[in-house]
Amino acid sequence: MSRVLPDYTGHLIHAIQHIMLKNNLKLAIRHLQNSKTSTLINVFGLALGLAAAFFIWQYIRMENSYDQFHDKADRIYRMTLKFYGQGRLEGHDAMNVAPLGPALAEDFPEVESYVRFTPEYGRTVFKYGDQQYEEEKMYYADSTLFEVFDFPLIEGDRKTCLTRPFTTLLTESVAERYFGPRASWTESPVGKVIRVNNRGDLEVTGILEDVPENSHLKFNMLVSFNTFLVTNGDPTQQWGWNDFFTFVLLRENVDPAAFAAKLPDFNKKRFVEKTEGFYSEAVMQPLLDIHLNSKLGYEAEPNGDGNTVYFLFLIGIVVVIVAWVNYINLATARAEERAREVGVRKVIGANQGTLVAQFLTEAFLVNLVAILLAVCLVQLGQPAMDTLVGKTMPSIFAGPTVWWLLPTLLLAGTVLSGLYPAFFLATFSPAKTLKGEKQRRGKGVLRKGLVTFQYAVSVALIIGTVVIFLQLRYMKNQDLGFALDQQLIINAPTSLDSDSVYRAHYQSFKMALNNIPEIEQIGASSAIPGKKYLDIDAHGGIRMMSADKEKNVTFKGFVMDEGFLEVFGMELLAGRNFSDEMSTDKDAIILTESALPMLELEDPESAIGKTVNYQGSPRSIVGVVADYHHRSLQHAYEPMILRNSGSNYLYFSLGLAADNATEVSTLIGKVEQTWSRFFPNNPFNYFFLDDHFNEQYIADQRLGNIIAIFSSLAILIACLGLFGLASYMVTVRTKEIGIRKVLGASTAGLVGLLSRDFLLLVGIAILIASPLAWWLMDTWLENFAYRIHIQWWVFALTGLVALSIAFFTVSLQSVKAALANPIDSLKSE
Amino acid sequence: MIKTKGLVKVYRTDEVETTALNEVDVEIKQGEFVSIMGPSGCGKSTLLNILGLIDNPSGGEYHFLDHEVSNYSERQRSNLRKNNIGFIFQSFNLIDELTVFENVELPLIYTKVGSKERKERVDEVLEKMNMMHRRNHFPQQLSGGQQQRVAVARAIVNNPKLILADEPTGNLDSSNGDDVMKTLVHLNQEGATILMVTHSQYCAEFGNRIIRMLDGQVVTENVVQQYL
Repeated sequence: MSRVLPDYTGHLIHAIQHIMLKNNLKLAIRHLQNSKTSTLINVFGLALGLAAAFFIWQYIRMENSYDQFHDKADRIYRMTLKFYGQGRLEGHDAMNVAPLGPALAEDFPEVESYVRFTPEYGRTVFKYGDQQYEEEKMYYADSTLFEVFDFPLIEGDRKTCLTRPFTTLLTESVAERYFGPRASWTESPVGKVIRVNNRGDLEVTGILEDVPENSHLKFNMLVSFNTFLVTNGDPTQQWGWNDFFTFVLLRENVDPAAFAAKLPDFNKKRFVEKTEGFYSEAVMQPLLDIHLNSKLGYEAEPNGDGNTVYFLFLIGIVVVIVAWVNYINLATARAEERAREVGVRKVIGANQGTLVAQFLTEAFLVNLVAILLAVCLVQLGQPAMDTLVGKTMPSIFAGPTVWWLLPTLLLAGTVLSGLYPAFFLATFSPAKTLKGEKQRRGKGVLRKGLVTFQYAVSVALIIGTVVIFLQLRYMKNQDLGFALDQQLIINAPTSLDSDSVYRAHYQSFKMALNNIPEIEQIGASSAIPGKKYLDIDAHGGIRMMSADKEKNVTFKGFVMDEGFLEVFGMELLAGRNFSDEMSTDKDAIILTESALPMLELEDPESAIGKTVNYQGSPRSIVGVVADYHHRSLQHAYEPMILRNSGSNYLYFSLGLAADNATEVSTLIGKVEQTWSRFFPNNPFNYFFLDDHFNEQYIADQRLGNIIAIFSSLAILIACLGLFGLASYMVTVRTKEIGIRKVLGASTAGLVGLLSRDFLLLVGIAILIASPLAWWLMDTWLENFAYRIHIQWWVFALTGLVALSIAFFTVSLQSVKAALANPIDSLKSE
Repeated sequence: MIKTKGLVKVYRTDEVETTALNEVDVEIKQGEFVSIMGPSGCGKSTLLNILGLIDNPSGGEYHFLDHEVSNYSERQRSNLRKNNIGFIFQSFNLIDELTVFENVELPLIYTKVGSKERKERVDEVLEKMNMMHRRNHFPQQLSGGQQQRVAVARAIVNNPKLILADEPTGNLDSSNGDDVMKTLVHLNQEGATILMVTHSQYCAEFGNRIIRMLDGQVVTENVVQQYL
């Protein structure tokens, strides 16, 4: 090759001039028709590889498009909150304090506007006419919403729709639940009044389009912030109440870095450090970074993962390269066959440029057909892929990108897959080829290297898949510290007038349920393992009664009744459960084991009876329970303080008998009947805990599925190439096989002989891929607090599978050749 | 037209060095029909390849049409070759994917002849070779004699000054062989210089001079008594 390299550009220009010549095209078509097997392998393999890459591209495009639909997206920043205790960083939350936005606007002319969102934590049941539903994802938002964001408003006035208290914007889907399909609206829902929790009213002041899939913040309705001030208390002077997503819009031409540099002074001035070492600071985070690069506490939605996206991008590229490699390998392997043609053409007057052009034309055609086929595959496979990734991805034809992507891929494919074979063939010496001499060039080192590369990629992907599924299995089979199965959870009611009424109704409901034999225990709580993390609250300013203020720490926790520990089968290490009988228990708390060291308590026994200063009020420790996994095993145990309460529940949990033979639907029917007797104005919504808990693993499950599919594709494409190479090698060695058979070689011996070289390459690939895959997957596993360690047998098993597949592929050809009658092959010479 | 002085060609493999041509001096004048004879391995095909500019000598001088070409690059040789030399091979070397017409047309495409003129010239030469009726066939659909006639047509379509033929009758029966030889003689009479490698004394005598080679050297040169 070195001889032609200096001429490279000249040849290329020449080649491009010739590439569309009719003659080349015609010849290329005929040549491709004559070598059907390798053409089919090339086209099919490339189409699969490209289809895979298109899917990945769609997915990446989807993930990268988050929040881009806001016109001013690049000027919007979320203000996140870092908080420090005893001088060290204790946490970094996505939510901030309510007075931050106004303070920033007051202090900095750079801030054009700001908007705050805060979620409704309680249950919300909407009622309009006969239609009553429990609604989720209700947020309160400032009236400045549309100064910052561009959520599309179908009806209503952008400036005034969120100004008055007790007004709300509904998304189209929610509005349609109450007012019927939009097409049939005779009058606008704007101005209509919706009853909330049978307690208050909200006037509809606008209809929004459903929040796009690619918004990091998803809501179904937005209630005016002024409503929050009336119903939930005034947070506007509270610098410690951080429940508010705060977004600021910087003016045009403001340098974000310069603005960020001013924040430390602002933080010192505004977040007053009441106790030495305890302080907070607001930090800027670009809106467009949130979806892929933010994993803070209290994110609005589970965000995507930038690393996963880049990793998939890499896989997509690699799969296409694996397919292009097939072309290079098959084209150069068949070079011997074409050597004579090259010789003739050169003798007649073709120069390298014209020959390169001709071979590039073939590559061009193969790539063109493959791209068209890949586009068809993508269109057909779209619904399946949407299910796989759990999102509706935009069509590949959405947006202008595809119109340069396809030609670019075509050009890149033609050049990358065609250029080397073209130069390889075009530089054959005519004198030698015409004499029938073989062109010996490094004994196919490149081809062997490329086959090794293909298998290394495939093996690494298979190892990745195996590790992901092993980790998922590990997490699902771990002892969670509570009973996951046979738990029926009901969303607790909302519309009851007072705590005492609530308590009375709940107690009667509980008694009634006790008459259903399949229900063994009943508990109530404000949070459930695996359910919304936002249900858990975090309270700071907690220390032992005897300790100094500097010992203050922050704890996560939630409220429960005496039934909760029983239903969830949680293990008491010391002390006792809450009891309804003991009136003092309303101020009792139960700690999880890992909470002990934070309060400088030595062991469970010694903690019992001690008193905790809980934000100023004394709380007595009555019990210590073993740690349990409130979230998936990706996260470590969290120290928690469980509080006793007779109300403010969000969930009722029913522990079902393990051996009951009752149909699930019958049982749920009975529970629902009882429910409607006691909570007639509340919708009955239920779920099974095990289903729900395992939903936390959906993201990883999907990643596993995606990688499984792409590793299958990669190995399929690599096998296609191996099949083509093997069939070619068998053709070339037909005579040798015949002679060996005549001399007495066995079939098995011949199959071994023909497979050995290929298997050696696959073996080398396994050796290369294993450490690489180990390193990559070990890095991935570091994301999990509870993880497997990759065992040697994963590599052994994967290697064995890869070798078997390769052996089988090669055998398809070698067995046929080994079984053939030797005379046929010898006569053919 | 052709003049070599001390032409040497050495092939090297890993361990063995083979001298294919050893100090060969030949001269061929415009209008001659020269046959090269000799046993297998004597270097006659190597000489033909070098004279036909598809291979470079390892040493010595080669003057072709007054150019000293022994050190020409592949590109320079290619340019000189496609305008001046036509090749005929023992195994025809037609391109399987091209029809008779397209095979013959190929040299004209490489010398950038316009499509209308190409058609005229290809038809003319196919007519001459009596292959017009097969112009849209593919090589595999033809007999050996017909294939060689196509190959001859391809060799002469550019009106080359020099025609090189490497055992043109080697794969043909005697009647088809005779046809090819008569064609060559006819082309020679029309003015083309012809250089032919052959094993057959009978074929060699169609030319007007025979060069005999042995072990990479020219041993005798004698003029053929013309009987045609």
